[in-house]
Amino acid sequence: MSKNQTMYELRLKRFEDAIALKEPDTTPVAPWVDGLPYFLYPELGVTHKTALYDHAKAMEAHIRYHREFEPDANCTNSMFLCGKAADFLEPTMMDWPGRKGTPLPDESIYQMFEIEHMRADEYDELIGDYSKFILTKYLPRAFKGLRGIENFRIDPSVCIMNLPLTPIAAPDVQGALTKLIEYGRIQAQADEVFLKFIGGMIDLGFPPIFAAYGESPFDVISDYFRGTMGMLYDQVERPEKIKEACAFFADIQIEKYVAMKDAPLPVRRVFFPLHKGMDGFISDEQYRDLYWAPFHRILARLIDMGYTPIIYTEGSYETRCAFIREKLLEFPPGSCMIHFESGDFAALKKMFQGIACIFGGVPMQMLEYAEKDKIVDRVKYLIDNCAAGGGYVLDASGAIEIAKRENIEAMFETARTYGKAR
Amino acid sequence: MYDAVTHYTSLWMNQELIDAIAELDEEKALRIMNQALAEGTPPLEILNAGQIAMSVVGERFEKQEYYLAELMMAGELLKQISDIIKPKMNASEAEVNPKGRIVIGTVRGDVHNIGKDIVVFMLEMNGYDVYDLGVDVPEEAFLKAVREIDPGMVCLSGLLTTIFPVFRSTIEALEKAGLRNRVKIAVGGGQVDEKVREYTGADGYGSLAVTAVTLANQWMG
Repeated sequence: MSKNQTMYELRLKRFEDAIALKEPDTTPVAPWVDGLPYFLYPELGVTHKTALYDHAKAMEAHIRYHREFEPDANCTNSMFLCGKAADFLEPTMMDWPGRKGTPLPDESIYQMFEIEHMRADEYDELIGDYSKFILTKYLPRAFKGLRGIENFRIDPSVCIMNLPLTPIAAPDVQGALTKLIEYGRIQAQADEVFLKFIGGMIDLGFPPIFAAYGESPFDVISDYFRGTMGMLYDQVERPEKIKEACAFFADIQIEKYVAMKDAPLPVRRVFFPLHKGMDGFISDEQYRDLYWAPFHRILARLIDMGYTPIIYTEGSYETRCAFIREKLLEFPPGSCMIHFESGDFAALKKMFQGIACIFGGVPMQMLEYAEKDKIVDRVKYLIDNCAAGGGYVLDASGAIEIAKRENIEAMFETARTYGKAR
Repeated sequence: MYDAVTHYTSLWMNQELIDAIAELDEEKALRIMNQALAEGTPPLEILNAGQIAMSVVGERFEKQEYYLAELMMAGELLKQISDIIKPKMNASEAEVNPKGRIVIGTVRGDVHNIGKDIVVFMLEMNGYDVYDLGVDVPEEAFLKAVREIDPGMVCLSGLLTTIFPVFRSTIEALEKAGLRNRVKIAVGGGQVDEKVREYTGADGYGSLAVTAVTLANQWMG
């Protein structure tokens, strides 16, 4: 077995032990990174724009980062979107560096807009005929490049030979369909490169942190269909519609995961960033019924299939912890990982002890602005309070963009020395 | 001549209106408002009832009985009522004295609008006159707005950690232009904390929308 293979196995076991609430050989360190490698190695000339348009070049920065710091998992967050495909389809939900006319600098990560792609009175259409709604309403609204698709019809009034298909002959429909085909070609090329990147990192000894990605149904509707503002009004005016739509989206998502039941994936983990469930955004009751209930069904199905959901909470989650703890108690111990952006990690560890692996704990702002000794103290505090008996992975509070080099060095160095000596 | 029946009917109606708005019952609130107008209740009294209802909503938000959604709905309802009432008021009544002027914008390089929009909404609901410069706002645009609007407070919004240097350069630009001491400056966004405030040179910070109101009340209220 090569050194890289040995390290791969060691890191995978370290991580899996932490998830399974078993004491690993040392505390796993796996910070999520966005633009950090581009920032650390400016001589490579890689930016977020490069990551979108020249994947091979951007990979160099990630490979260098992994070789230098040797994290326990490949937590690269910024390498799986394709600028060329986006230029082609023109999604209206976001802007990205490199788009013609964008105000964003090359160094900026993509930025999301929240546009109402579905009106408040369209829930029934969405649920009643999902395919028709997506094809003729959602796609033309969410992608400027696909506007012609809204006239796609199969006309059943004349069914001789090919005649029901004649609406497809319309130039705008043909244009949109041609674009979809071309998009598929571009995306397939990009996917090949992304898979090569993951494979290359495995060969270097770094297991991917997850193998698939999802969102809670509530977030899907809020982020991409109704927008935050629209969703806030719906929470008061039509919560029953949100409930129906969330249940519907949970079913669709579960179908996707069931299809990958026996897929030969390097790790059986699915990543879920949680966006709109933070404190204050939604009442406890609605969090339970609208947000968590459909999401819980997804978690349950994944856990049942032997997958580990990675629940990545965003924003303050203090008022939710006790509830989530109760819900995770319904699963076998060590079924989930849960990331917190803020909070008292010693208390969080106690709360989830014997239930789930928690991760996070190093504030990004500290990595960017604090002195090195503060980082050392913070990492020691986290290891002292969270590492015993497994169930903890050291990570920053969010995906790191910019940080002092010496602070990143101190974070890894302290975790490696103090984590093992404990 | 004092008419006890009219007086108490009016008080009762106002309380009903306050309750309807605070309970977010749009249909009932508008019905009571129309009835009150038809019965000759002074428009200003109706508007005052709306303001009282908003403070009830605010209290419920603080007690975590209400959440952001309820706050937004109540605000929308009050806006509907104001839009109907204000044209019926005479010029001096309709003249609202704002608690202060606030300039806000998402800084250069950041095009996120949701957090900023929620802050704008909350500040307006709390009686401030808010000048929203939009997103991706360059330093010069903030300078121009401070010169022309002469606000008491400037709010710099941004979601990304990479734009903290732009918070700082915007504040430095105000400093260079000799405008820094004329205003209080708050930086805000999901990732903003005391360390970020210190780095940027702002007077205050917030990672939650309501903090903007607290700061405004402290500085201008």
